[in-house]
Amino acid sequence: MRIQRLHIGRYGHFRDVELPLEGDGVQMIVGPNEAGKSTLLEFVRELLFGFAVRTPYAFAATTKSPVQGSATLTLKDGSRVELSRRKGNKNTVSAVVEGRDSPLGEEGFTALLGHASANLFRSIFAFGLGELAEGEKMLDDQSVKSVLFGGGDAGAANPKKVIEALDAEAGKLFAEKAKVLVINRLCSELADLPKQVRQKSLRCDAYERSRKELEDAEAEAAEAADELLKASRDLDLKQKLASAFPRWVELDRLRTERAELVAPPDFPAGGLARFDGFEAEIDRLEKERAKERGDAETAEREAAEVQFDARLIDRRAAIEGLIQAIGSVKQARERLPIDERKRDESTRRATEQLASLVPEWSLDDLRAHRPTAARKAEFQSLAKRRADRQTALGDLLKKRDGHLETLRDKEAELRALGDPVDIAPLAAILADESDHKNNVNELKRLDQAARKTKRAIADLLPRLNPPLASPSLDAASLPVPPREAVVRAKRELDQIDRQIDTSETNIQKDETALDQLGAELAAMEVRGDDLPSREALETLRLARDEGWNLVRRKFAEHEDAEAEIRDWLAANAPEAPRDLLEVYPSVVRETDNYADDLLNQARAVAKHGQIQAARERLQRDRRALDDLRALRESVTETWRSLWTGCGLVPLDPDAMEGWLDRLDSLRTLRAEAEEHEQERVAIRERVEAFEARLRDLMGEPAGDAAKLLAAVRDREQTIRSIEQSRRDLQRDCLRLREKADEAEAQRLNLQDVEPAWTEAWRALLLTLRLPTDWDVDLVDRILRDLDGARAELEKADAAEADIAASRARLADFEPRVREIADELAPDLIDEAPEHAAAILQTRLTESIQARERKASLEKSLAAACKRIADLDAKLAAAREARAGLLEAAGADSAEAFRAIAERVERVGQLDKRIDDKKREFEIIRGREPFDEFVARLESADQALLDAQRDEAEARENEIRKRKTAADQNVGSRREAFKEYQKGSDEAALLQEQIAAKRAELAAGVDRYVPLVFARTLLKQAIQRFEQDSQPEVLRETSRIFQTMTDGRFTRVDRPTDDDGQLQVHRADGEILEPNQLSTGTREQLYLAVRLAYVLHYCGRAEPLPIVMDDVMANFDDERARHTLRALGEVSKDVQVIMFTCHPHFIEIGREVFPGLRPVEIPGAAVVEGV
Amino acid sequence: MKFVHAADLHIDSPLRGLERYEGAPVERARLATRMALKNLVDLCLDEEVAFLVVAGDLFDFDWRDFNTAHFVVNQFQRLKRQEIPIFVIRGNHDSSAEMSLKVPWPDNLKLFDHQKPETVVMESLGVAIHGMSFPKRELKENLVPHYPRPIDGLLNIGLLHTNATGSLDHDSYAPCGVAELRDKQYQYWALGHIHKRETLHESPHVVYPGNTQGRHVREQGEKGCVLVTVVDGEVDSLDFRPTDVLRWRREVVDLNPDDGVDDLHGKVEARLRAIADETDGRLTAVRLEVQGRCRAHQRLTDEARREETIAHIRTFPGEFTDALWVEKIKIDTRIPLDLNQLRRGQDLLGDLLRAIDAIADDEQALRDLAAAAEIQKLAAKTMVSLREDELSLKDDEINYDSPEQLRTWLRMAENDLLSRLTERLP
Repeated sequence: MRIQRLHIGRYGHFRDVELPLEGDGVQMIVGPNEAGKSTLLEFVRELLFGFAVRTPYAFAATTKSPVQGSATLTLKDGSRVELSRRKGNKNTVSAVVEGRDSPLGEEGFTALLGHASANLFRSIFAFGLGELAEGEKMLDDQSVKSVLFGGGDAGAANPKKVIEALDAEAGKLFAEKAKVLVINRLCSELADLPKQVRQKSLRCDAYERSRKELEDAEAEAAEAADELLKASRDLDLKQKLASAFPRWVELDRLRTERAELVAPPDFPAGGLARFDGFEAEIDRLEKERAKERGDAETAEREAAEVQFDARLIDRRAAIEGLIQAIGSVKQARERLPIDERKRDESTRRATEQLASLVPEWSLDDLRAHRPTAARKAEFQSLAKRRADRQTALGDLLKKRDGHLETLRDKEAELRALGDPVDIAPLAAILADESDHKNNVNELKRLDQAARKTKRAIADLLPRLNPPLASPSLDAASLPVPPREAVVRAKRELDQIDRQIDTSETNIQKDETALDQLGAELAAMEVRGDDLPSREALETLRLARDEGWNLVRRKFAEHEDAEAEIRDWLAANAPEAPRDLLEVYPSVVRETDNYADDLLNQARAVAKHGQIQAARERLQRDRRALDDLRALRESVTETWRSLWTGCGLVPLDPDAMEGWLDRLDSLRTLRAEAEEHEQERVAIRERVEAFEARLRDLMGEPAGDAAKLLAAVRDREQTIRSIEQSRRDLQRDCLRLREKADEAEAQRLNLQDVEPAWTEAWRALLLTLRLPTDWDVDLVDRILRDLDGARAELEKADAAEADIAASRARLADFEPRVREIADELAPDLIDEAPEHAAAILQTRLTESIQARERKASLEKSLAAACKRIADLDAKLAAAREARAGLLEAAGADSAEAFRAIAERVERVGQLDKRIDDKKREFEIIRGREPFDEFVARLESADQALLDAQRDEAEARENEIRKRKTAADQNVGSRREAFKEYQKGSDEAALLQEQIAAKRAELAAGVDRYVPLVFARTLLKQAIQRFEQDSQPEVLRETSRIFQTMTDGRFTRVDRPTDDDGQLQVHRADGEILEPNQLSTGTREQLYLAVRLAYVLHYCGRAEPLPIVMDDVMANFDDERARHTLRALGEVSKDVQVIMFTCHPHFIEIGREVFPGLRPVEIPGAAVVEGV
Repeated sequence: MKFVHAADLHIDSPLRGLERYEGAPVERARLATRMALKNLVDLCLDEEVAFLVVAGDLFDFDWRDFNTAHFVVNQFQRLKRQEIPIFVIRGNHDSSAEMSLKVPWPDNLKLFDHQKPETVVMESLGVAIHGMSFPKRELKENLVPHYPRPIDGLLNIGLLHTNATGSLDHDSYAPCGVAELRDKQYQYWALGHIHKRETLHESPHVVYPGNTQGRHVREQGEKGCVLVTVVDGEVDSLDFRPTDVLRWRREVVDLNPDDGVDDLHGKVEARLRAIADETDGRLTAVRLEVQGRCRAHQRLTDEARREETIAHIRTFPGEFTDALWVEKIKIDTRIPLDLNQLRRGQDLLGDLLRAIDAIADDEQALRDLAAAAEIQKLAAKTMVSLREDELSLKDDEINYDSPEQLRTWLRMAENDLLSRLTERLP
């Protein structure tokens, strides 16, 4: 099919554009970049195969003006078709075929295109520079059949990579010997899980066993419990007997003793104690009564002896009043002369002081002089103001002088500092110190790294031997082949080895099969070695049939067939005797038998044929194996040749891959070492420059850098410190000067307030009636002395008052004393009043005491008489009670009573002990039958009972242990059984996991099998292509490529191994592989392959136009010229349309195709030269 | 009076084909059959029923784990405490020959004999229950003729495990027909074996309650038991009551040629939201099948992207409910190409597709394809690893000999190849 004309109705930015594509040879459409070449290419595709629903070129379309276009086409058979198509849902295409009435729809037009699909067109017929470049790359690593298949499959996907991807994906799922792959892992887990289920499952028999064990254990425990009960009872009895025995013996003894004692039946309870109590009471009462009588007599006698004067007691208040006044009278009498002396002395001192201070003042003036508080405060204030001012003036003067002195000291210090020094060079050095240190550290680090790298290289070098005999660092520069070549060689060798293995296995199988066939054949009964061929057998069979036919005609139907029989004999048995006609039937029968026999041997014949075939196959396989071995040798040789440049004999590719890894490591290490060295040099230069600067600065050409740096730091520090001091001193001087000035100013201000104070002072002195020329100190002293004189005067006045009071007290006391002495004690009238009063008081006190003593003695006497009467009554009662007891006991004396009482008490004790013992015994006996128990006691002794008890105890212990063990056993069995009864679901969980894993496995299988199928199907497709189309495509490729390269290459061929790469024969006879060609030549080669496939396709179906987008962009003019020639040849069979934006290709096109009429893309800028 | 009719509890039957992934509620799923029994017992107690009948297949198989029996016994003991009797027959799964141990049943449970039908009469209720257990798994004999005549004046209930519908989904054990059940003149036939709920006849009633808990995606919808109300000695009403705790759904999401992966996500999420609205809080296991020729296919061919998409889809339900579980996601998309046209093309792709068609139509060619060494090794490996267990891969629908299976794989391979070979086409 050829496109004669294209009309773009509306598509992308195109509107009503007409493109005539007439003329022979390649048609070129030209337009600069962005002119719409890609749009046009898409338009051609969509016009032929339909506008996509989401076509991106419908942006300018509307409902009224949809995407649409038309074309005039010429088909392979010469018929002309007018095609028009629009974007829409149905009836979008119309194809009017010349000579037909009705237009074709979509289905009819698709049939015209030979059912080609849009994908086919896109992948085979329409391509650009990108596809060409990718195809060119594919040549490098693809086998011939992959390349050719890929060329025909669209180049869309790289078939080899598809197969590899399928293999890789399948390889992730399953491999026969793997363990961790998905399916393998699931299989092994699934193999393991049922075991876990069995472990986690509670088996029915295990459950039953557990239940039975529990029952057994419970029965055993019950039995032990019974035994224990019995043993415990036995032990209890034995213990009781052993324990009861001593009590039983004691009881017996007590009863015997009790029986021997007799006591009065109504002897009062506790009689002896009561009797003794009454005896003691009587004794005590008699002693007490005697003592009371003695006391009463004494009291009576003393009371009679007591005497006193009652008048004194009657005048008690008056006497006590005198006594109270005696102290003050005595004091007044003593103070009177003292106070008179004190008064006289004070009056004299006051008079003298006043005379010395203010002679004109009398004592009364002094009494009248009392300054008010306000005046005193005013005086104090004025005095204080004056004193403060004086102090402040003194302070300010001192302060000013102090500041001035300090200022002089500071100025001296400042002068001592001398002139300032420039610190900048030192600071600059110190600023760079950090960088310098970093550099030094970096240098150390680099040294370490260099040593490490050196060690690594030293470790690595021996590992390059073999193949290098004595590896050195130079090995890194060896011209080793590219890794791809090594990988390829490895792959090739592996592949050949695998093929050899397969081939050897096949041969082994064939040999085995052959042996088996031979044995089978030998086992058959074969008539001789000269088995006829199948054809001979068939001929024989036909001859026999014919013979039998003749026999039938002659001997059964009696026809005249003699002549024919003779002919048959002549043909089939020439040596037969002439009379054979007669013996003919038997001969024929024999022949028949022979033939039957032979036919019976047909199996052997077939077997023979199989042997023959097997032998041939074997030979073929052996030849193939030899070929493979030769090929391996050749590849090995190629492998070695790869390494000749390195001057070494390589190991196998696997080892060399590792070796290359190590070599790469060596290269990396060498590069690192070199890099480190460069860095070291640069850094060392910086370090040295810094140190030179330092030495210059310090003026020590040979000084140590670190010490010099320390010195710089010290010096810089010192200078900074001095400068700081200078600044501080200057600031201090300034401040001191200001302070001294300030103090002076304040002092002058204070002096200005003096006159106001003087005025106030004068006023105050006038108020105080003191001379106005007195200064503060004088006034202060006079005022203080006047106060002293006045105090003395006040003392004299106070002494005068005391004297008056003492005299009055003496005058009151004496008459009162004399009056009482006249009345009660005339002997005291002449005594001094105070002495007489004291004697009166003593006499009063004695009278009072005598009266109280007498009253007390009379009271004691009455009480004693009362107690004596009480004691007499008690004594009588006690004596009566004792007599009652004696009478009750029938005793006539105390001794007799005591003997009876002792006997009664012993009987009581015995009865109590017997009761106690009986109670103890009964407690021990418990519920044991009494008679039986006592009988056993009476027939035994303590030792026997103890022995029996110990024995029972030992037995009980033993049984108890057994029971404890049995109980524990029951406990653990019950626990175990409870666990079973709980109903765990672990086994169900595992079952669930199995189901899940199985589903996962099924999914894995579902994924794996299609991958294997896909790979097989693709390989089969490639194989079919190889058988059906490869030779033709190769031939066409050779032809086109030869034209494209102007005969530099004569042929493109397949190697003996189809898995190898294409082989390109150069005109000089040398054979190259694609990777040995230049990129441009490889692009040509791939283009040739594509075009060859197109021609191949077009031989079988309606050809579609080839549309190429700038595929020659990388070609030089010469290459482009020849490529266009080749395309010109192709265009004889298939329309070739080429888009380009390169004007010089148009020129070359015109040169190659003189009738070329390039079409300019409408709306595009005018391209120069078109 | 009310009684409950249940069947096919299959306690501790593993739920089949579940995919496990982080967050999947496998625990709830695993305990589903047990929880269904618990719900059944709860229902009996709540409704204060007179008795419970179980028409076979109480257990899934002989317990490898006795714990299963204990769980059931514990549940039935709850009914014992309320004096509710239970009448049980064995089915093909727990037939007398299949079960190796005597269960310590509580005395409120009557297990019918497996040699001949037995009748239990409850005079106080006016009920006679006739039943017979399966003596062995593969019982091909019709048991109905052996069942006794109905007892006059009582409500006669026949307890039978049978395939009475000729269902191809279930083995045809103890086969019988609805007509002969009807003619037996029992008032109620309590049947078991078929897992789909169905009333085969009314007056007399012939009823399959279905199983109490769906166990795989083929057992969809509500599952439970039938609550039967009897008034004046006659069956008055049948009321289905769900007991299941997990429901299965198979959801197919169709994609259009223009749909990309985002559209896929959108459609799936919308569908899941719609399902979530219908779950009423009960856990629902959804098996999603995404299919159609679509733009998304190209991306989904890549295993990593496919896994990524599946993982993403699994996160959807968590955003709006915790009662939805995307149990399995089957992505069966196709490349959006016109295969028919490609098949007719004279190019290599056409050749490949035609060759695949030819293999699909030729069983021998299919077998030859499957005879590849890898597949034989795979078959040997997977079959061997599963042979130790009672279940074979056949249960999970993998059969290396089945032409149908091989054809499915072939089409999967075709789809895969098409995707890869047209990978870079727009």
